[in-house]
Amino acid sequence: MTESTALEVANDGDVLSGAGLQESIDRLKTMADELNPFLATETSVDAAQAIGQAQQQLRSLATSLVVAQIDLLAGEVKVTAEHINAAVEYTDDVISQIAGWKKRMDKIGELLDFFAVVLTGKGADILQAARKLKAAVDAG
Amino acid sequence: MRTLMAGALAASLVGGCANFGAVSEFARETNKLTDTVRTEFTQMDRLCVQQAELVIVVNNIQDDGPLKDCEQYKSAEGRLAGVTVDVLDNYARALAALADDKSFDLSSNLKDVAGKLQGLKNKDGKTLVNAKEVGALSAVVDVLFGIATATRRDAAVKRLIEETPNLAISGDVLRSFFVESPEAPPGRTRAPYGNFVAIANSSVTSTEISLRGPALRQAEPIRTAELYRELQGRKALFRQRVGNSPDSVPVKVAAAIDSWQQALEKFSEEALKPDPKDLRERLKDLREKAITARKAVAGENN
Repeated sequence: MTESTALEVANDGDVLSGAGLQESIDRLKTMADELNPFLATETSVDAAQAIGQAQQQLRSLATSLVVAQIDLLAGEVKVTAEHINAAVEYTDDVISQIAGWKKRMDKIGELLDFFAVVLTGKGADILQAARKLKAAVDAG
Repeated sequence: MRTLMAGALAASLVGGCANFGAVSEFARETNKLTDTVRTEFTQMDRLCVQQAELVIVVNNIQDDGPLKDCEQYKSAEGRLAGVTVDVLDNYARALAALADDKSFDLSSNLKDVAGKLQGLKNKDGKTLVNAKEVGALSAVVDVLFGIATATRRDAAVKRLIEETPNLAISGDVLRSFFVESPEAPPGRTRAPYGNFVAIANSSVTSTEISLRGPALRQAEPIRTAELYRELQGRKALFRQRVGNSPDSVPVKVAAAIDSWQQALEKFSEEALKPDPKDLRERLKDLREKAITARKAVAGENN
């Protein structure tokens, strides 16, 4: 998640498609699956349901990406599927190392917020959201 | 409604040289294949909704988000694979009508196909599939409309046979919905069916763990046990649809489509021959593969 090179500008017709986001789809599904051990041990119904709800949100997002066709706003920075995939990979790598489910859920919430911006196709906003996501994920 | 009525005189003139029995047989097997694919669409819709309803109950979800995910799956079908099935289904019905010298009803079903093809573009006019695929489906639809007004059976069948390359492309489109395929629409890295099933199966696994977990079992043991039992049957059906093992539903459906493609090729060569030996062999294979696929779809594997 580094910006080592200047980003191109998006043109009319540039899109983020589900095909390019396959890595993100797989990661989102994996992130949901990685919450399963907490379901197996958590004794509070509220907690188990909160975990289940987070899993559902991750899977819903993955499902929507399968058929996604996100039009990028022309004239703004051209965000690519590789950028999005890298952001998800980075987040998942950090989350999978977190021991407690509550803290994981916070980071997952940040990732879902990030994708809400991605789906708008506004490059500048996506870039800003990516920075916010990284800061939140790195914040211990 | 347009209808095809082959005149008695025309029929008597071509009856001696054309083998409409093979045409009829190929039409029947094509129809069985499209029925199987449609059944699988229905089955997946049903499984998806049932799982979504369970997820909502188990996780106390306050909206219908999981059900909307099922709608997304359904719309993915409708966008391409569903349209393709409609086209092939009408093709089979046209062939059957020509073979049996009966009226051919091209009512709303085929008109809907034309409308759906228009819907394959997004709001900016970008196609979700490439021009070759849209062109192939459109061409077959156009020919079917033309066939509906034809008066000579043999000429109509020959015209349908000329569409073999476009029908082959349509078959590729359908196959690529179920399994990874070099003929998949542009940029696609995985079959949509595989993605949806993998995500749904992951949900089944989590739900099962949740229902076996201490939280729900201690809070509502009887209800939790009931839901767990209910999930088991569905779990088995999902397992049969995950992955690319030879026994999986998508691989068996793809095998039936492959067999249909081979039969289609022979059909184009031998459809009107007096003794279409190779075609009959291909149709025999298609019949077997279609039965296997149909049983897999119905969960009769074991």
